[in-house]
Amino acid sequence: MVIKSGIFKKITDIKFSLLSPDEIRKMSATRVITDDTYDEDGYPIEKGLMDPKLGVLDPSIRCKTCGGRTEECPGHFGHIELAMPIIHVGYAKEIRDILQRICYECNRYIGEPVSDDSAKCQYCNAMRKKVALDKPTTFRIDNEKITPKELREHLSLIPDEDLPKLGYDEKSMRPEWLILTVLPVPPINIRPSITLESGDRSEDDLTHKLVDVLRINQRLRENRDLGAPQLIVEDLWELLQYHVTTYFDNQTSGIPPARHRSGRPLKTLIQRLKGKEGRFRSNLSGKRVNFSARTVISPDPLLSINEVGVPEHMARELTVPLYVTPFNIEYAKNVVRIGPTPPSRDNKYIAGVNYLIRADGKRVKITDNLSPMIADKYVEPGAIIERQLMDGDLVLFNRQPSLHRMSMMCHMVKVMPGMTFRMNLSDCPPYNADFDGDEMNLHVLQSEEARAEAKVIMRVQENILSPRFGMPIIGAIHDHITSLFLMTYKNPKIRIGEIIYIYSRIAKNIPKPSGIDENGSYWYGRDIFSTVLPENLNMDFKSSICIKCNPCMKEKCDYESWVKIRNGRLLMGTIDAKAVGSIKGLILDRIARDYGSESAKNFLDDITKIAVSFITIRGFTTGIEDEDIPDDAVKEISDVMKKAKNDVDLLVEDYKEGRLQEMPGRSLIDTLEVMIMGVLSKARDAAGDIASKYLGMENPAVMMAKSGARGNMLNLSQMAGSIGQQSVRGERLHRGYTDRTLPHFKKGDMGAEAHGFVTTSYKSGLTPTEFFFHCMGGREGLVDTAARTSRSGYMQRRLINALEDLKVDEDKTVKNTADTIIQFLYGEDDIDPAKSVQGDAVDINAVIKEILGEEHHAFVEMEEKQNMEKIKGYGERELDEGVVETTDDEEELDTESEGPGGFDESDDYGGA
Amino acid sequence: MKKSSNSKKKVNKKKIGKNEKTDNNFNYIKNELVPVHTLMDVEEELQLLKKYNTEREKLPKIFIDDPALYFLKESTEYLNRIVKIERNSRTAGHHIFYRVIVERSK
Repeated sequence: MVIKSGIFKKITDIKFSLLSPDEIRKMSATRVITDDTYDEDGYPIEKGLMDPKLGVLDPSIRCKTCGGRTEECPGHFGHIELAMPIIHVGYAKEIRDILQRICYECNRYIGEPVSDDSAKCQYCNAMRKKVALDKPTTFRIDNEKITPKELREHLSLIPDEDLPKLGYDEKSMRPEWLILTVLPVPPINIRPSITLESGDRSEDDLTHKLVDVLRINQRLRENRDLGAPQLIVEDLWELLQYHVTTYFDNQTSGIPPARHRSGRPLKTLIQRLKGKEGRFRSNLSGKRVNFSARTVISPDPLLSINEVGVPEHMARELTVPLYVTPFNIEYAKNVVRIGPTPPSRDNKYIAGVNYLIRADGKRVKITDNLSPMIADKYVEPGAIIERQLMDGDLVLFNRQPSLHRMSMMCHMVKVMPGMTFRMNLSDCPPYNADFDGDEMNLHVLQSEEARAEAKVIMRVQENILSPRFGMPIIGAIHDHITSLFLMTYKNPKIRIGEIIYIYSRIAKNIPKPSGIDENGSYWYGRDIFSTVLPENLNMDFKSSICIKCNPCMKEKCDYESWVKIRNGRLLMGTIDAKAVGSIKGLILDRIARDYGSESAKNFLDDITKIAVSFITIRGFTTGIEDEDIPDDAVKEISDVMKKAKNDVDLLVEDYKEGRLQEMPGRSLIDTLEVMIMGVLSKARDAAGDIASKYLGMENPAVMMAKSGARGNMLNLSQMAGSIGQQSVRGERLHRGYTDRTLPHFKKGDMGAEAHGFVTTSYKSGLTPTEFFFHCMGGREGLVDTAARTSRSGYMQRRLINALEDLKVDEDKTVKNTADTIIQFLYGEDDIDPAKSVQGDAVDINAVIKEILGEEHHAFVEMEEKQNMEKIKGYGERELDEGVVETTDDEEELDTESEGPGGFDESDDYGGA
Repeated sequence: MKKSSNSKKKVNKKKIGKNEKTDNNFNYIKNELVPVHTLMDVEEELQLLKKYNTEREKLPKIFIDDPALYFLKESTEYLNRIVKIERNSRTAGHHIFYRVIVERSK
């Protein structure tokens, strides 16, 4: 297909101008005189605000001005002749700016306003006067009130040739038009009246306001013509000014807003446009879509990662079009016969039909009574049936903020009882969802093309590998990791009852027992895990619980952290976050890459089910008792803390006595601070070490931390040992009172406690001063998160706006919509980051390993030796023996929500 | 006020100009961050356009007075010709880019 490209039309200028009173009269369909709208019979009064010349609302009536029906007639303006000139609130500032620059005697432009009191007009030598605007619409000249009528006269006397100097185009406007003498009345289409059920009419806010204007205008005219006292006329004039002002803007500061009889402020012109609920943000930039739904999400580990549970209520409302053809006509008829509320068969949901669009385009609502008739009469080729959602329909599932492409993925519908969307827990990381009240959106795909595209590129299983870091973003989380850890660490024996329970949930056969002992036959946990691995999988890697000994003992690892898989059998090692976890899971990564997304999906579904059923039987719990440490340990920690404080005091003394040596590039006081920070952080670590000495692998909290399921050892040591130094902007706390942080300390105290060192633990509780310091540190974290999200959000927006219409062409060039080339080769290296191995096109180590098989160790060792010789002298560096190693960066990614306090959940308190 | 600031700017401009002329020690073309720009033969250009099945207007652009095109001496006969840019790439190591020479708009 050839698409013509280029620019067809080009905007050269935009001109802004004013409507002259004559123009307003010319575009007016009728002059509005009476403030009445309808007569007793309910017919609109001529020359009233609902004059039929202003447009039509009733579909059966033709417009008196243009003859069009409701759809054709755009509505027509009318006008009100104001008895006296009125200032337009929106132009008050413009009027002031003009008045400040003209002379009051000769009405010529006399230059920018000056502060000099004795300044004179350069044309007529008159004194320059001071103009002030009393918000919103009153003008004072040399402190004397001036009426709009006088103002208008001044403005009308400004010569045309002076207008450009004031910044106006003399060809398109006159300054006196800034003051209203004629008020346009908008067409009734933009202020329709509604008929209530009781038959009463209810008018639009704008109509109400115009009634007020007309009423006062009429009284003003009568009083003026009758020669009423000046005072009365002026009062009425001011009242008219008020009504016209609020007609434009009902939130003008300085005047009370006009209210409805009920006390609700009226929504006038500016209110219709302004703000989040205004025309622009709500109706023009914010479009809403049909065939979509939103509700709270909740977990269901028995669903596949590709599925989403949809409440039955929703499924009955959401529809998919079914196009009737000669080939499916019988099926279509049967579908229509079911009707909109089919009875459930064996408690199973059956999809019904809501509407039928006849071959001639008419929409027919299908009711239970009519459905057989409609099926016989209207179901013919060309008709479209709006079928209710059913299992297997493809939908898009989305959670805001939609920051990356995995924020919107294609799921398969599974209609379920209940009121929430259900999803597999492994799908949480890509959406960044949790179940503390999060809501998500669902969009039903409407065309075959859309469904095909979504299924191929947007399905959950196609998005397991993230283009962000070239590793799986969908993977086991929390409980799944804990459960698999329990199942494989120390390889426990599992008995027949549990085995049956576990295997009842997955489509796999129970393997042969691993052995028989006095209690009967048993299965090893690792053998159970092996049943979900692909048959020919071979892998070696270090798991999360690895303590990184040097040198690594590999297969002789004493800590069960060397994972060895041969021909799809887990021979040794522990399965944890490093194996199956989201972001880190190496087995998952390998399966998704080498065995395809379908296998990865099956693997994930299976491990979720196995993990959930195993942990259900095995049981797992954690509580604050998990951080209990013996009294000896508490004593030990308090000794460490005492010593640390003492060390700090010694440092301070050294500093005061002048014994402290400056560190290179630092002032003396900075040196002291750095050294104190060093001492205190060492003390915190020492306390943590003491605490973790008593918290072994049998401790559930430690299991979670080490296996990467949730939390880390720092969290635990802060609960059991000591919280440590609180900081703001990377320094100890110094803010507060003069020379001290709190009145609890002496002025100039530089000790550990006086500057935010918390010796206690979360479990033992904090002292009041410590608590205050902890709040200071915590607050910084909150402020940072708030600032970070808004700033990164804006950066993201700009990036997306710049890049949104770029596409990779067939020849791998990157082009925009005008077909201009942006890159000659996508990414300059032609690598799809989602298919890369952490950014590289090929994982050369994996290839070598695959080809050499068991010999690869020898090869890698040889290679290693050569490399070691090469890099000798460049400093020490641990070289990995061909094992794919996740870098520390990813671990940071995983804990990105962590505040400085160290608690993962700290930012989850705010709710969804 | 306005006048004085203007005159200051003028002085600065003159100074910078002088420095550029007199300071021969620094040649930006030899800096490793400035990629090698070469003018393509007309024949090569046609091959390139054929390879990418595109037109000159749809290629990325470079101003004729770009400092990297010093060898063209801003001569208008080179307008619409294509320069080949060989540069280091963070992702690919080495990458070839093409730009069509255009006039600097006012």
